[in-house]
Amino acid sequence: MKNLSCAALALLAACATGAHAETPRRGGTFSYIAPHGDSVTSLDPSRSTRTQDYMISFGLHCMLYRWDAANKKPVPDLAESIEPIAGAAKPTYRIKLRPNARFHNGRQVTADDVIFSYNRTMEPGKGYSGVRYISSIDGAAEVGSGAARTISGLRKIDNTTLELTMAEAIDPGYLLFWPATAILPKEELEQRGDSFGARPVGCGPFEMEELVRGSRVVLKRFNDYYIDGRPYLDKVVYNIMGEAAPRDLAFRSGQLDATTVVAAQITAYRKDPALSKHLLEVVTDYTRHMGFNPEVKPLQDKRVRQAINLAVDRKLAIEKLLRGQAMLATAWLPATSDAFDPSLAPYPYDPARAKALMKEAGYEKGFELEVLTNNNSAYGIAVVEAITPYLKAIGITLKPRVVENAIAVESMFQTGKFESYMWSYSSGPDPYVASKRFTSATSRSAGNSITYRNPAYDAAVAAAGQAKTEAERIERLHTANRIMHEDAPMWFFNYDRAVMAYKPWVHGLQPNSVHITYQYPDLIWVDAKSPRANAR
Amino acid sequence: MLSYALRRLWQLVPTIAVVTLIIFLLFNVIPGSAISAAATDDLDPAAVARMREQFGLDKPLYVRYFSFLGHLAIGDFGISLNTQQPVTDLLLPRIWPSLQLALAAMAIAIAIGVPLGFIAGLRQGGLLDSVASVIAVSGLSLPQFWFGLLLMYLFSVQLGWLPTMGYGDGSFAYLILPALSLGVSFMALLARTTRAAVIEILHTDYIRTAHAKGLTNAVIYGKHVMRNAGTLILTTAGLQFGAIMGKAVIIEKLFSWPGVGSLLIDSIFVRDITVAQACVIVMIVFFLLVSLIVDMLYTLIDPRIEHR
Repeated sequence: MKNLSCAALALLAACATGAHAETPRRGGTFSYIAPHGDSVTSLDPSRSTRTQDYMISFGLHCMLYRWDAANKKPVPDLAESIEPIAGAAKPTYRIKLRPNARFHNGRQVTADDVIFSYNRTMEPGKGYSGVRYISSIDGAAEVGSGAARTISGLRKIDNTTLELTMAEAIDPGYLLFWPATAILPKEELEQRGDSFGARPVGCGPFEMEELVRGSRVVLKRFNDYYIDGRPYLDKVVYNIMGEAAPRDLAFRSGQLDATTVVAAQITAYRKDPALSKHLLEVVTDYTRHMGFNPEVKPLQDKRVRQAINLAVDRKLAIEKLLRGQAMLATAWLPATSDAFDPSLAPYPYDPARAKALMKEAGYEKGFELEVLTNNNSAYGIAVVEAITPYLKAIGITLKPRVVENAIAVESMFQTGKFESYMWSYSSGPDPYVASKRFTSATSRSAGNSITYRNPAYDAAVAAAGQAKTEAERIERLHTANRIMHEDAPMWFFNYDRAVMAYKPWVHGLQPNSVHITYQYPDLIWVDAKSPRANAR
Repeated sequence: MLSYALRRLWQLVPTIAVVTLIIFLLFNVIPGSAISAAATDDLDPAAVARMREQFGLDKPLYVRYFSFLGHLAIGDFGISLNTQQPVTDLLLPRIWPSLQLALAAMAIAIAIGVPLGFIAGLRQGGLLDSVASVIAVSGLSLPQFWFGLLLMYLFSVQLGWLPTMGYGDGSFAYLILPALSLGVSFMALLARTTRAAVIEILHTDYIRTAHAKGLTNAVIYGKHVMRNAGTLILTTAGLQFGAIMGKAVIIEKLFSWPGVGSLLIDSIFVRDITVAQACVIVMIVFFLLVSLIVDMLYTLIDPRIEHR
């Protein structure tokens, strides 16, 4: 059922975006949005973890892999081919780079650049954002700790060929498509220093034209891009617009070619005969949940945690509050995941059973529970307020504490000063990496914000890491996911269903489940009907 | 006059010292840091420690504060904790758009508000006064954000005359809607102030004398009423103009206008203290300079006023 629904969504998206046999038109400008806040931090992707910077980096920079949104798999990008080497002690790959790949300064991209970029990421004392991806390469951790100077798992074979050895059985594609692993030119980094983040040089399909902080970023076509005929567009404009209402109006007025649609707007878009024809919808790799702090006594009892999962009519909350812009969560791994388990039933809405469990656990009279949250409309205070009466019915009184992201992140990942939190975590795309997040070995600061500890879960995830076949790996991850579902260390709320509206003249948008705003702009083109069809 | 101006400028120094100290203290009291603001899904302790050292956050507060003041004295605002760029590189490109917006909003406010208030004052209790009052009260009570959205809807979505948002190439078309949205409340305030001043002046003895002398209405209104109302109008306009950079935050956000106000708010959200300090300093300097200019202008309007 899950595969069917995902396939249907992908098909719908493919049809909707006009991804059928039309010949892409060259030229024109695509007026896009940058909706994640009101600023751009750094377009040196190794210095940023922000969605806003990443979405622009997909146009500026090149990585060994790119995310194939239609098939939900990483595929070689800067790498012409990536072949596993049989018989190696650890998973090893021979990577052949595209010989025609060039940086925006005209220099060829070589194996040395890959090795330099990954070594730079692991440089001790720098805290580069790509550490979480590169550290899975054999020997990278040693560079990070200062015990080695270069990553032993990277070996240059010739100018455009290298070998890559992973420290464990992780498909490198799931890690090396992220902008934080972009291949960067050493000479430009050295020459530009800290200003590289504002004047980046990459090897992506577009090069930097203009950055007006607080307003827009303009990229222009890089004519020496390594994929023949691409990019199609002359320019991409990222309009920095953190507010949903003006985005909506700018889209309706035709100033934007595509925009994200939030829950409050979706009904209007679906009802509008013209707008409803051009909606790209995709379930993304985000699991919205209420994480429980195991140091809070009542939450140490599994029955209480299960009771919370049973007490709320989540379907109604999704339908009424989120206008259907979410998918009921079964457990941690999202519906888009390879390891999503369709046989696992979500917790039903069963207040009687919830009350019985509270009574069994000795909390018949209930307790107060503080919830750390923010003002996000999809998983913030509105959700807390919506579920408050349900939990009150089983005796739990929620006390919301609305904070900014900076405070919430510090509480969740650093101090642990929270009783529970309502948030949205990325739970993909690699189900193994997503599952590892909640193993005992993962610290709070490394992502295990609920300090979940369950030896059976750890064993299942470890077994997935050692699996010899994909089927075995998936089975082990199913097991881990079932254990977590049963254990209920969090209230599983929903998986995000993101919606993007676009103008009829826009083609090539991708139903990207990693994040709907992560669009590879070299695939996008505008037909002659666009008001910016000939804008340069 | 010159010594007065210099004295006023000198007041900037303690003002900036006090305000920056308050901001420093506040940033250290409120939870969250530039490091946690930069993180998303995790917060590696080693990286945190490295970043604290890199940003100088491991040093005592007073050391950081005096270091900041020392750099400020030579015009160095420091490095942004968020972007690693020199703060001046982030701040300078924001000043002209902010000034553009402030000037345009004030121009709209003065061009509409003062005549509207003047006519309303002259026709107290009449139809024009009622219409002007309705406009003024509406302008004062309209939420800027909502009014901006209405303008977008009318002029961009429905009529297609103006761009919805953005700075574009800095051209006039992009300025109109944000300036109107920002200027409307100042316009309303100026209209109310002008009306009140005109009504008060019309009841003074010297206006009665002027009428008794047989002066024409044009002379009385133009020479006596307007000139005497000018001081109050100038004070109101000056105060509003001085504070406009700070008040423009919502409009800058709404219209994706790259001004100082939106930079300040962004820097507060990401706990970028160096940028926040710089933005506040720019706003204070702007406010004090405008106040100074207004004080100087008083003598032109009313020669009886002199500065010592």
